[in-house]
Amino acid sequence: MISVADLLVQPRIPGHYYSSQSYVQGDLEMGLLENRRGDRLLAIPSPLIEAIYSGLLKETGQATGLVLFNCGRWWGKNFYTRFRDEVTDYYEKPLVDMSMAEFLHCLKDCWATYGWGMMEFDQTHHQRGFIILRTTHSAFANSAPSDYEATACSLEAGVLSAFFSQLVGRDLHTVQTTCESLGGSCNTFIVGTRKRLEAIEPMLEKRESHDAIMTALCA
Amino acid sequence: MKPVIETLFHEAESRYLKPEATAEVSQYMTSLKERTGLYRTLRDQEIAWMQPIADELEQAFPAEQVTRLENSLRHAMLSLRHCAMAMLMDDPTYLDLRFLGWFKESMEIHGTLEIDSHLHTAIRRQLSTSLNTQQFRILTPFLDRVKAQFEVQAEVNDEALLTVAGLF
Repeated sequence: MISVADLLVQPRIPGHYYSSQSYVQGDLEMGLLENRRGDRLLAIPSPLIEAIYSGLLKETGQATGLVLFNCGRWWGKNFYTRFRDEVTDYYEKPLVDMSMAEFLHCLKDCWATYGWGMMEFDQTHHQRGFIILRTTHSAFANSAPSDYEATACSLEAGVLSAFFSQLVGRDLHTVQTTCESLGGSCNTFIVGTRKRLEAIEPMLEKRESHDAIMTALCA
Repeated sequence: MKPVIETLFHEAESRYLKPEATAEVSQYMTSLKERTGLYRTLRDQEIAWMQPIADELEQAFPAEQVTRLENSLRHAMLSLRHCAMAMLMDDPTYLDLRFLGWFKESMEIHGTLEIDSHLHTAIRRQLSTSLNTQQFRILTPFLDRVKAQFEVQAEVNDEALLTVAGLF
């Protein structure tokens, strides 16, 4: 027999942790933004993102994407740690015990509340060892210079590669195959092992279609 | 707080409030005593009202895993807690933004639409008999917003079968 009183012994009934209304808190006078646990948040205005691009392009030229990717990897490690701690504490369940759908539900909500955009997950190629993620409303894609001729979400790709590497305990890589800044309807990322993804780098450079790249990867 | 009233408070420099605005503030203030009373009742009776619903749920779904029933019961209590808070503030957006979107997706993930919908009906039945007519009337618009989430049939989601540990 289910005892309702027993279901209520925890201090809370876990619900929508990443609801932006309750997650983002702050003190306007102090200029502080915090999450609901009191960890500091950083808001980045669009002009700063534009300035990051122009500064990097001037200083590093074609390596801009690589620099952003590596920054993303660094950021992604901390992002994963925070995400894991928050979700584990709140839902009282280790990440590895969560179902994939529950985990992605959290990640999607978190991604949106952090202002990274909307995220969709496609597990069609999971059996082949690839996860496909599609995002829209990326601030980095929106703020990329109009003459930036490559996919523009390198920072997010870095974040995702570090995030999933930490999650599964293997060195994973992420490549981006479509980008809103290049007229795509979304930003598409493939997460997989570094060795297999590096094999299709020439296709990425030639900007071949996502479908063609997936066909080559799964061949 | 009721969103319309919240915006009124920012307009002091423009003008005194128009009669219809003061009427709205007055109506909310008058109803606040009733809302607070209803909120206290919902809070105090949570376990007493949910336990018979839990008992009935086990009988209605004898083949279902207990953990799934417990999960749905938690979500049902969560929905009532959010309804109670939204009712207290007379702010339906509180319910929409903090709970309903998440709840709907959660139902789709766990494939518990049938159980959750059954629970919602049982809670309404319990509330309609335990609350007085006026109290039930105040709460109904919020319960209706929850009910609307059951009306679109959820798609079966096979992502639920995969675990994080099973990646790669």
